[in-house]
Amino acid sequence: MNSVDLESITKIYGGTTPSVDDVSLTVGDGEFFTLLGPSGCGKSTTLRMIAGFISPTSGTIRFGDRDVTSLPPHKRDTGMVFQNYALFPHMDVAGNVAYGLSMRRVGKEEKRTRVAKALEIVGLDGYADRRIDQLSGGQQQRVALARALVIEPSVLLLDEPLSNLDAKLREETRAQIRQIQQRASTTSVYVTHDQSEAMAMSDRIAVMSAGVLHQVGAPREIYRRPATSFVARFIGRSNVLEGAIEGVESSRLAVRLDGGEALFAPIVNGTLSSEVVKGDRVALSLRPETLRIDPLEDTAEVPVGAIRATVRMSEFTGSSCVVWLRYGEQDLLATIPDTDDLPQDGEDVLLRPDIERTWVVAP
Amino acid sequence: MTLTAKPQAAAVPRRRRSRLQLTASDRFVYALSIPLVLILLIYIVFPMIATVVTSMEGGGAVYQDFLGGNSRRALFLSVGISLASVLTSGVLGTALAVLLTRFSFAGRSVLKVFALLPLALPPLIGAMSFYYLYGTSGIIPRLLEEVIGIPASTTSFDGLAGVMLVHTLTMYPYFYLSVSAGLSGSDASLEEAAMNLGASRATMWRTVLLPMLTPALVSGALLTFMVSMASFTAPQFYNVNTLTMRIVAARTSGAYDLAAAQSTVLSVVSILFLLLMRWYQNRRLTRSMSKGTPQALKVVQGVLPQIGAALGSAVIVAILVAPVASILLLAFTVNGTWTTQILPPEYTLQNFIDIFTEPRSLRPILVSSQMSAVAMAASIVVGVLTAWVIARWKGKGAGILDLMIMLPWALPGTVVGVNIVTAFASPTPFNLGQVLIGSLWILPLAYFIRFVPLVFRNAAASLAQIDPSVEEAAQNLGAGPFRTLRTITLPLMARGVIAGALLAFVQGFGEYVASVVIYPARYVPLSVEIYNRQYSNDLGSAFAYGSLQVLAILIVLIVSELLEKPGRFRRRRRPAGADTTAATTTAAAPAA
Repeated sequence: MNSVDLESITKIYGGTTPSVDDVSLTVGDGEFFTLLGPSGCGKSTTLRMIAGFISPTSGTIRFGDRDVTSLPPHKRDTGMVFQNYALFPHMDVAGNVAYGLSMRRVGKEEKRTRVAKALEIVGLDGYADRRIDQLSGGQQQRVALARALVIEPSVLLLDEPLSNLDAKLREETRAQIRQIQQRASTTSVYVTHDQSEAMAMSDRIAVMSAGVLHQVGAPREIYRRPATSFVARFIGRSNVLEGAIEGVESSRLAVRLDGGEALFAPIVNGTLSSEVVKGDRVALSLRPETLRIDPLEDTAEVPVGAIRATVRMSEFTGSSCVVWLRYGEQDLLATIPDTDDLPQDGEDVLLRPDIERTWVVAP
Repeated sequence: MTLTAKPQAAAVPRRRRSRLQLTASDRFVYALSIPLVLILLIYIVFPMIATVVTSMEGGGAVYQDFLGGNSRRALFLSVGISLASVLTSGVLGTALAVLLTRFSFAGRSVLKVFALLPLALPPLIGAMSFYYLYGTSGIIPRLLEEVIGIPASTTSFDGLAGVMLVHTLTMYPYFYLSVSAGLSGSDASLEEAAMNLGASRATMWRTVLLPMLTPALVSGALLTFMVSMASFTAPQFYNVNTLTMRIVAARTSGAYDLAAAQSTVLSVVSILFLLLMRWYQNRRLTRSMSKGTPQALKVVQGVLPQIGAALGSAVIVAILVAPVASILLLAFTVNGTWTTQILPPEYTLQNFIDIFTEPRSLRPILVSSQMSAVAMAASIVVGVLTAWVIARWKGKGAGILDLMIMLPWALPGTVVGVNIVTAFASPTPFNLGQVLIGSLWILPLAYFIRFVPLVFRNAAASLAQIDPSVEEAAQNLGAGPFRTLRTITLPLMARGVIAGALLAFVQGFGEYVASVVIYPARYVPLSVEIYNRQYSNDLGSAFAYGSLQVLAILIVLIVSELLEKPGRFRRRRRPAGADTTAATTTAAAPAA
């Protein structure tokens, strides 16, 4: 069982602010698991603690049933792909890929076949004798991948492996990594700050910010049902409005926004919306595509379930229109189907969120 | 599963695993540092303390003598000579650097090659060559007397002037190297930006280039000052009573406590300068961040300026080549035949034949090469491991180790000699009962102490170019700390270390200043033998030995230049030229 278990992992460098704060998560056997967050959120530190380069200040790391917390890196049997590849410049491609096998005292013949196989898998057959500085960035990246895969590690660790490639190569390579991983069904932990990369590749994603784990879930789940306002903003675009619970009905909640208006949100069992009581501070995540813009009659009161905002500008993008609005002190964004009568800049409008797609998050 | 509520308050961290803050490789680094610290303490730090203790034996009375007597005059003389040397070699070195990095003229490429030639002069034979070129009985003054009729005594460089000539022509490379690095590091786009914003060429120099060159000038000045304070061979030849001369004189006349006091004062001055230099280098932040537009050379226009430039370069090249050429020429002189002629009248190959056929004449070469080889081996082990430990050290304390191993670099050779003689004269707990005076090991020890900083600096520079994640990759693939060091780190450092070790070897091969204080009667090193031969007027033999030293240095310089070229083992990301320059200047520093 090649699962990875982090239990209450905390890492404090000098000072008192933790770089990683009480993180617990489990990566299932064969799963492609991504640690996602902005730079400095502690995702790389977490990965390096799994690899053993950093010891946690407190907490336990297990591979399967084995406690590896105090095991040095060279005894953990992980295969890591580094951000800058970290290829050995004094060895050729084959030498790099064979290094881990030599450390495991694999016989000469078997070593040769396994290296050849690994290079074939990453599409570098025929490159065995090349020097590292004769390879392009993309090729170096694949050597690094082959080097990590050839030892058939119990866990594959990838630290932003695509960040040094150009955009086109990045998309090709990410599909390739995913394919190779699925074929070998190696338990993998992937670190990135690129949410679209995380969405495209992962079985599950852990979203981190400032050392704190905000949410763990499948890509769709994280997009549709963000747990916190940070997740809502970081994954895709979202308008987050704060307020307090005003009423709890059988299937929906009423939230009184700080701006005065009231909006509704559905209650979904097992989520924050089913746990809150009247008076709790919450935030609502409104995706731009869930907002409808209606004209505001001069005399009309703002009806319940809508808010009043001012159009700042709109932009035609082809398939849809993007409208920037101002709500109190806050900027909002709405994506609406293209129409001939777009609201004028400066015009006051009614914004109606789709209740079913309004989501309650921790503020 | 969907929701992990944001922890409200930061949990109080449990300290139960705090022991594990140290990873296995950290522990390996700390364990390795223990023997290194002991070696540095016993062979570098304690001998210095021993000298201080000896100087205090009379309750400090000897310092009273110091302040009242010749020693104080000697100190002032040394400082004065050093300041003047900074000025003269600063002007020469900077001028050459500006000429060679900014202008294109006939003879530029030749001049560029020979500008570094003074670095190939071993200290003793170098000073001797100047003496026989420009001294009263030297080639040039005699030539002038013959041709123009000015008496040789008025055109010759003797005494103080002789010392200044040697210092200027051997120490300007410190300025030349640092200023050239500074000038070629500042790329054209910066200057273009300044001029684009409305600065005239002069204003641009004053407001952009000079401030950027200040670090180069300051480090060149500090280095020249230190080397000049340590200078011994030139004062010895021109009989100028600098502090180094006084130390050796006191030592020879048995005034051990006075010699110790003088050494202590000289050490304090040198170490202060070392600290000043490190402080300055750590403080400086002016590194060009731009991408580096290649510098276009300004072509010298017009017939007259072109001819002038060509003639000028020819003269400078001639001056730079003259010492080496005279060493080679005098090496073929028949002993005792050169008296009052301009050039030696008779030439022979016999000097070289004797060296390689007479066991007695070959012995100094064997002694120096073997002692130096032993010192080189020890320097490699200690220098490389210390560099590695410092680079991988986490937390405070690395700076102390770095200072300990770089100390001897600041210490004049004379002081190193006095320290060793004082510390290893009788068994004490601090030297672990080792008495080394008169033993086979004293010369290798001196060479090790003097030149381990060289290997260390080169090792540290090559280490700085290795990405730490390469070591992590090896560990991740199953290599323990020791195997990572052996299969990854050391092979990647090899070129830089070999270059540094070869320089250390060749410096030991030509070492004179410390050797003359400590050499055992049975093991006369090469440079001391050269001095003895010159003293007994066997000029040809002395210079034949000297030419072998020059040859060895030239070979090593060429080999290390080849090794240092950004070859196939290097990561492409090379740090700014400053590091290589630092290594090269270190290479040259202890020579005087």
